[in-house]
Amino acid sequence: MVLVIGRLDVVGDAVFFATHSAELVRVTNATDSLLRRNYEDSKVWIRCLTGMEREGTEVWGEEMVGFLKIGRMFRGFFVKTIGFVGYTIQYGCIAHCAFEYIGEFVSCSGPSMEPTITNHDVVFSERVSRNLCRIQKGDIVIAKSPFDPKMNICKRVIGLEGDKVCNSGPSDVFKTHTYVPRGHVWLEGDNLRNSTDSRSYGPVPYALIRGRVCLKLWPPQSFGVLAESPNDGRIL
Amino acid sequence: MAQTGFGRRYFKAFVSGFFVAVPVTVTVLDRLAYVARVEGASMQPSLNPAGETSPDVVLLNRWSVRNYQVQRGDIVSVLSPKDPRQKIIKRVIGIEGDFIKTLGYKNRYVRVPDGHLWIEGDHHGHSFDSNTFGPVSRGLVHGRASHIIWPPSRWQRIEPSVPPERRPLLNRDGATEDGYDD
Repeated sequence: MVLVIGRLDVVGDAVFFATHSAELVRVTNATDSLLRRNYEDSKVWIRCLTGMEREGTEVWGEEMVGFLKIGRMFRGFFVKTIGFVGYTIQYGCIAHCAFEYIGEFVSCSGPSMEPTITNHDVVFSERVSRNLCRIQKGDIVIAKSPFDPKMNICKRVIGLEGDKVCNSGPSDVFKTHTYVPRGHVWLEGDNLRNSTDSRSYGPVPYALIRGRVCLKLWPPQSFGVLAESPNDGRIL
Repeated sequence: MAQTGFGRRYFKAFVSGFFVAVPVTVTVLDRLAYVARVEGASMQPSLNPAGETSPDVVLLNRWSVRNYQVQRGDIVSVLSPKDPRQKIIKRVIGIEGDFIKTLGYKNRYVRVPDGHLWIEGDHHGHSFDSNTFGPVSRGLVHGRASHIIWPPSRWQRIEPSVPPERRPLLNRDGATEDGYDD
């Protein structure tokens, strides 16, 4: 009996071995050969009940164990890394699609939307309305700031394109009105005294809107849908 | 039996492949690169010199504008301030702080506000650009046109260049643009 340890590739009826000198040796006379694979040890061995010959010489392969064990482990590690990277890319892309097209969680800071949204509140803003152009008057939206695209602002929509909005301050005697241009919206914070919004920087292009705030998630005592505008008369 | 088994396996492979391919493709188009056909004559002769008979197709690099950084002379695609579903492709003439002489805008001279850009089409007079609607916010930038990829005879890299007569009068550092060489 010959105990041969080596890499096993079964091709149809033929059984090939890779020896330490990287030659392929074919089992001949393997009428009683028994194949057994032991994957836990990363080791494959075949016990031939008859001899194994290559052009008349017998091949012994016990020294191959160390070298081939490392080769198989390295190959396994490489394959696992590729698999891990593939899964990361796939789940990262699914996460990107979810945040871009469904909704995202936003943590608001600042006093400009009190009492509806206070400092350090967490809200959920959905992207579907914005992508379908269905933002309406009275919605609270998250938008990119017109002066710094990396900052976001959270305000309420007071007027859509074509609407008449009041752009004079509360201290003015005569109220002045403007019309919101095409493709723009007029945003105002609920805390009129402490909010820089369209009253100072003018109408904001619709395409800067990121999403509509639909649900408040934190703090738990004010969980739920957000309230209507506390400022009557701003929405004409 | 074998036929139903094969159909089910095929269906499962199709569905699992679909759930991999669609998010990856969407993410690549949103974050890395986008291909778009140029319509209209507002960027002639740089883009679409043949007009509607043979429109150019450009490659828009979305990765380079992930921080909304553009420089003067870049051809960029922006979301139109007048119609949020439309994208327009124009050249950046001025960035924030530049002092620009306008062509047909309501003010003769404009200082580009912070966080805004001044964009113009190369074909003056046939272009719906900042001379009509004023400075555009940097948050509207969608991608930077880096290459023309169709038709094959017009395969080229697009280099940023500002036409000499449209350079800003004062750039944001206060320096004048005389003696500026390409």
